[in-house]
This record gives sequence, C-alpha cells and structure tokens, in this order.
Amino acid sequence: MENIQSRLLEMIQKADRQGANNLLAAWSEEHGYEKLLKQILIPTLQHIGEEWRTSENFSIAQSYVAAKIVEDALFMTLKNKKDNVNTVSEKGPVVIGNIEDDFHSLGRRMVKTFLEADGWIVYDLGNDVTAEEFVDTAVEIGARVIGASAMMKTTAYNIKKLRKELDRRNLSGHIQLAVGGAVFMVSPNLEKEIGSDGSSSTAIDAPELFDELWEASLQQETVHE
Amino acid sequence: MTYEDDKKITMVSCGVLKAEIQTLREQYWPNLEVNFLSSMLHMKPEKLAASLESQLSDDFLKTHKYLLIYGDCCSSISNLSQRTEVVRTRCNNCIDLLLGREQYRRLSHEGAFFLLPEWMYRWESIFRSELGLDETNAKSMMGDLHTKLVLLDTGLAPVPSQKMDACAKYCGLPWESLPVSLDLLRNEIQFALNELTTAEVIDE
Ligand code: B12
Repeated sequence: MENIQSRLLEMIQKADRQGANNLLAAWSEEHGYEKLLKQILIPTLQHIGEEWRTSENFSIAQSYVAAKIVEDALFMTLKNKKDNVNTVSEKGPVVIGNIEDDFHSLGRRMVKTFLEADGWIVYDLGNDVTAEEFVDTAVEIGARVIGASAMMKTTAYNIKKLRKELDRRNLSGHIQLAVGGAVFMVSPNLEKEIGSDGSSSTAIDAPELFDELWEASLQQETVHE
Repeated sequence: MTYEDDKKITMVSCGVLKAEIQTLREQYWPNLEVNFLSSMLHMKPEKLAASLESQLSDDFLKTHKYLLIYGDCCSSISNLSQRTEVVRTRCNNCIDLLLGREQYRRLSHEGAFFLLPEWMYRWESIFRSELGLDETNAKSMMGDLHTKLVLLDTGLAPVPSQKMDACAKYCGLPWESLPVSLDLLRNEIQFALNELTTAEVIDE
C-alpha cells in the first residue's frame, strides 16, 4: 500500500498524469476498482494536503494534475463498475459555481471533481453566476448546499448578494452557503463578512465541509418542525 | 497639468502597461511621475502587496499622493486604496481596464484567455516555470478552461505573431488579435486623478 502511495506521489510531483493513470489502472486490475478512490487516491492526496494549501511548494501544474487523476480515476471506476457493487454512494444534490464577475474556474472545477468522487450529485453552473441563478437552481433541484467560488476580494463581495437573496426568500439555514477561493485564505475575516456558513481551503476538504453543511441544514429543519 | 494641492502625485503602475501608460503620460500628464513595478508580480500577489506597501509607506504619504493603476491584484490593495492619499483605477484587472466590464465579460464567457503585448515576451517561462505546465498539461488545462487566446493589440508595437503562434500551439488553442484603443484607460486614469485632488485640473 505504502509503495503505491509513494509512487503516486512521485508521479504527482512530476505532474505526470499518464504515468499516474497507468499505475492506478494496474493496481485496480489487481485489487479492484471499487477500492481505488477511497483506499488509495483520496488518502494519498490528503497526505499532501498541507503542501497543497501552500502554493509555494505545489505548482499549479501539480495541483491541476492531482485533480485530473481523481477525475480519471472516477471515470475508470464507473466504467469498470460491476452492476452489483455500489462504488460511490449518492449524496446531494448540491449547486456550485463562480460568483458574479468571477471567471477563475480552475478551483471550482476541482471542487466538483472531489465532490463527485465522494458521491455527490453536483450541478455546476459555471462562471459569473448571479445570486438569483444560484438560488433558483438550488430550489429547483432541492439542494441543501450552494458552493460559491471567488478568487479575489472584489468578486468575493458579490457573494453578499447571494446571502441577501437566501435571506430574502427565507432560505438561509435550509440552504447552507459554502464559499472558497484563494482570497479566503489570505483574508480570514472575509468569510464572516460576506455571510458564509463554512469554507475549506482546498478542494480535497470540500466533501467533508459539504457533509457538515448538509447535516446542518437537516438539523435546522428538525429544530423548526 | 497642475494641481493646487502641494502633495506630489505619483502614478504606480503594473509594468504590463508600461508602453501604454508612457504614451498617455507624455500626451496628457507630462508632469506626473510614474513608477512601474514588475509585471511578474502578477504571479505572486503577496510579493505585489509587499512592493506596494513599501512604495506607499507612511513617510511617503506625508508628501505624496498615489494613483495606483492596478486591478484587484492582491488582497491588500483595497485597504491601501482606502487611504485618502491613494486612489486605484476602477477595475478588476488590467484586461477589463482596457476593454471595459461588458466587453471583458462577453469575451470571458466566450472562453477568452487574454494576453497583453508585454506579457508575450515571457509567455513560455510563465507557463513552464511559473505554472509548471509542460506542453501536455498546458494543452489540457488551457483546453479545459479556455477556447481561444486573445491578444489585446494596443497599437504601440507590431503584433508578435510568431510568439502568438508558438503560445497558441503550446496551449492547443487558436488565437486572434483584438485592436484596443487607449481611451478607456485614459478616462479611468483621469477619473482617478480627479478623485485624488480637489484642486482644479487644467487638462490638455
Ligand atoms: C494560475 C492562474 C491562472 C490560470 C488558472 C485560472 C483559474 N484558476 O481558473 C490561468 C492561466 C488560466 C489564469 C487566467 C486568468 N487570470 Co489568473 N491567476 C492565476 C494565479 C497565478 C494562481 C491562481 C490559481 O489558479 N490558483 C489555483 C486554484 C486551483 O486555486 P483556488 O481557485 O484558490 O482554488 C482552490 C481553493 O481555494 C478551493 N476552492 C476554490 N473555490 C472553492 C469553492 C468552495 C465552495 C470551496 C469549499 C473551496 C473552493 O479549492 C481549490 C483547490 O484546492 C493567480 C495569482 C496568484 N498567485 O494567486 C492569478 C490571478 C488570479 N489571475 C488573474 C487574472 C487577471 C487572470 C486573467 C483575467 C488573465 C488573462 N490573461 O486572461 C484570466 C482570467 C480567467 C478567465 N477565465 O478569464 C488575477 C486576478 C485579478 C482579478 N481581480 O481579476 C490574479 C490574482 C493575478 C494578479 N495578481 O492580478 N490565471
């Protein structure tokens, strides 16, 4: 187990997507695809979580390739899924997007990948999404969590409109608001200021955050019933 | 152009717009000083913040007023420009400063990745060394995020076609050039200058 993890890390360090995929395919052929994500890939990436948080040690290419490997592994797993084996549980649905005026989609795409690998059904609204679009979609599909991504302060402030829209429709609490993006790491008070319910500094931690927020939404309803 | 205020006005601009700002300055604001910071600071917002903070030290603010020709390029820039002696151009980044918000949004929705002439000199080291993207990963990532490269041609230098061809090939995307006037940039700088001084501006 350790051997494959350290070889996988090496591949990620070299940003070698093909090499990593070959390695994981060979491992899965032997041990089973259903174990790939939860037993090998996600724990390995969690292991490098710290480095991931500090871009000093982790290049854009390395983090891009790491997320792509997860995307590829998810695809491989689903392709090789035996009908009787439920490899990923179904959670959600949830809505994600980059907030109004924000076009930095890489982080949000990574969040989508990690959520899907964890079994979430994700509605990705893309870039430059208005507060109304977020809330309309969440209501329409029955999402309890909205994830809004913003790269810079100016665009992060647009998330305030989303909080306002949730308040206006009396949906705050019932629909939880997750936020993320580089700016939240360097401005610790920003999250509170714009009215978020929670955040995570990397895409790999997003599933845990969404679990918590989903639960918080359910709790809210028990309290109100 | 003269200002009644006795504090000296200095423009601080990202080097990515050096040619454009110098051209405008000669014509409209020949008496204003301008400092250019390296455009490579784009890649490291925390270093940009440190450079700006050292330019705008409390001591300097006793004798100077500053016009920042920058977008929201690092998280502390909004705090810096809240001081009365400092004004920043109204924009998110250098691209919407040149294009205006609506055209920037429209082209971004079409999937544009924008390039400025000054940036083109270093495109390869930015992709390879700064982002760590070899050609395979660059093609994949840029193909995921973008549909085309758009060079903003501000008309001050010939379009660097060979460099654009090479960069486009590396990213696996087509490229086009878009002629851009300096009018919006000039208006934004003038607007910021007007904000910075209550004194009468004798222009042109
Ligand atoms: C790499 C990079 C790019 C890449 C990738 C872009 C992307 N992210 O989609 C490319 C080359 C494509 C690019 C393009 C552009 N860029 Co750029 N880019 C950067 C750079 C160097 C790093 C940012 C980055 O991508 N980090 C990696 C990502 C993955 O991190 P992240 O978004 O924070 O996401 C992580 C977490 O925050 C979290 N997360 C993110 N969202 C969410 C949401 C939720 C709910 C949760 C829980 C978690 C979460 O998960 C992610 C993975 O762990 C920065 C400067 C810097 N060092 O910060 C400039 C920077 C962001 N870019 C900038 C600019 C101007 C641009 C362009 C306009 C330039 C152009 N020439 O076209 C375009 C805009 C993109 C577009 N579509 O129009 C400016 C932004 C200024 C502004 N206010 O607009 C910056 C700040 C540079 C600067 N100093 O001015 N860029």
